[in-house]
Amino acid sequence: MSFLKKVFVAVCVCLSVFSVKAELRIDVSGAVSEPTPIAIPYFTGVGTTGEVAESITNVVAADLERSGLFRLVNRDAYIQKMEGVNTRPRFPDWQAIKAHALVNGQVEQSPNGQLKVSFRLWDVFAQTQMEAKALSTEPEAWRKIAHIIADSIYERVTGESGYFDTKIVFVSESGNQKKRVKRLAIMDQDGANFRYLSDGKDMALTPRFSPNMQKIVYFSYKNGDPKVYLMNILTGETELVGHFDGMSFAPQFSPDGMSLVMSLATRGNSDIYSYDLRTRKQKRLTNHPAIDTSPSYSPDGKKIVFNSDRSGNQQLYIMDKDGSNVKRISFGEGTYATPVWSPRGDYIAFTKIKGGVFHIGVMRPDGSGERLIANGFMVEAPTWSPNGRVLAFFKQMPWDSNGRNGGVKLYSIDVTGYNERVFDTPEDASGPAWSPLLHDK
Amino acid sequence: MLKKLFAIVCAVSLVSACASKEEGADLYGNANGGWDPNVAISDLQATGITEKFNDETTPVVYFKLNSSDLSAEAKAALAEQATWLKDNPRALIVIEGNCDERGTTEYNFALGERRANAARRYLIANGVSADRIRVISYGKEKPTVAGSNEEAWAKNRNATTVAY
Repeated sequence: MSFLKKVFVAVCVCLSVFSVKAELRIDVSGAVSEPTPIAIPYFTGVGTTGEVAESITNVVAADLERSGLFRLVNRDAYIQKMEGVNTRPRFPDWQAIKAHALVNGQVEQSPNGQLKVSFRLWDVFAQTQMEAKALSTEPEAWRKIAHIIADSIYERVTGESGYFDTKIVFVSESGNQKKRVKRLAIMDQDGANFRYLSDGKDMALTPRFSPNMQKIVYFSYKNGDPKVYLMNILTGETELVGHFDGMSFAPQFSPDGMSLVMSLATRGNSDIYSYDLRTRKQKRLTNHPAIDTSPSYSPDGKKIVFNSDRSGNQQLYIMDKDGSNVKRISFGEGTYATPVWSPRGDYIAFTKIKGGVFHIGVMRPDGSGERLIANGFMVEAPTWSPNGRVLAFFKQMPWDSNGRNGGVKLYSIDVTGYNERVFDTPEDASGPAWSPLLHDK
Repeated sequence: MLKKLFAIVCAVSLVSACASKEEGADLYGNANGGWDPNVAISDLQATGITEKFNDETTPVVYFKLNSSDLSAEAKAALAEQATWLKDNPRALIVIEGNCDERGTTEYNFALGERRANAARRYLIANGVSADRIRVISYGKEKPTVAGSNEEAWAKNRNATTVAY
């Protein structure tokens, strides 16, 4: 709950940054490269802040390492001992242990009780400072500070916006295949601060964040009537969306947060509708006897990509936000589902089923440049990190005939197809949705 | 959810069973033929109408991969269900549409709904009143049979009629 309390993080001092040339830079758009060796000595804890200084350092290092772009140089090898944020690095000492980047920092308690964390990022070979910041917050928000520091290091070195200060909402699963309990849950992108959002009495699925992170929209079998609901994440209050005959499902927010797009199914036909959250009016966008579902807005809100079997099997289509100009974009072998538009606008991620194998793939919005980046017995439901560089999805393992030994886990993979990682979740997990970046830049 | 309904119904039926006996209610908890869905549902459940339907008909019909077309076998089973429903005019039904796990969650909600409605349309064409039929899609969320193999998948692509 604390993350919505609008943790106030002040970037109060920008320590002086010198101009640099031929500096350390990691390109995240192209092919894979060896992770950049980075040295991150434990931040110096001033006064009684030693423990939190160590914890913050660990979270920063874990974020950077998990991105696949950095490799932490073993701390046993460090020659120079950094005594606070103002210690000037002896660059030959760091060059000797082959660290390309160095982060040093310190944590102190301000007289007003706030935690002040300052750090500097150094380019070891160019012998220059790349970044320096001091951040203040309430002591409880120390993890958030750590993620913001990791984001600024990532941003400085890649030129891309970060994605570490984010949350993931998903379906937490437990029990036998035939008596599966599926509850909504939320956690930080590194698995910390796990919390259930629903009690498991009614099966709940496909949660998605509102752009301002105050609400989620999801699908539930509450009262035996499968429908789309809204939940206020802070209060836990839920609200049925609209008064539709039949089933409403596959909801997503529009990028401005003012409306939803979803499927409505009546009498054996599913079509796509938008729903204005202010006027509470629905508008039919597709009108076809085929199944039309899994709609997702382009980041500018002008177009919608969706899944339809109108050609005889499932393919991806794009239409204008009012339902006009429907155009098929996928033409490859196999079937395509769950299209999601990247926040950068450059790609659409999807699930593809071909020859009995499930894949996660990406293509450009015009359908060109299709690339399959992950596969498995069953992989499904890609969701984009807010910088459009990483996808989260879920993988299901086959069940035995007693409904055991299967299960589902969340994974992430770079859009380049490298750096596949499993998320550490307390239970089985599926149906992820990645939040926007939580701090203002 | 049906289980929960059943639990409530059992509690209610302890009371209504006595009353029914005195009034000489039939199997459907309704002595005079007046249609009261609330009374009927509870007494039908208590008297095991779901089991009776399951014993006397073929309650499940199966589909091919990604299809909601009714096979000859499925049509025969549904015709049998329709006859039973005509013989048991106060019974109501829910048709549950199900899918195998080899599809995506959201598409399967739609496909399950399409399967349940294929069965519904056939029953209506065979004389069952539309207001006795409710449909619900479980997509791939409520597999009939456990396991990740062809045999289990074939059984999980179905429309299951539950009478009450």
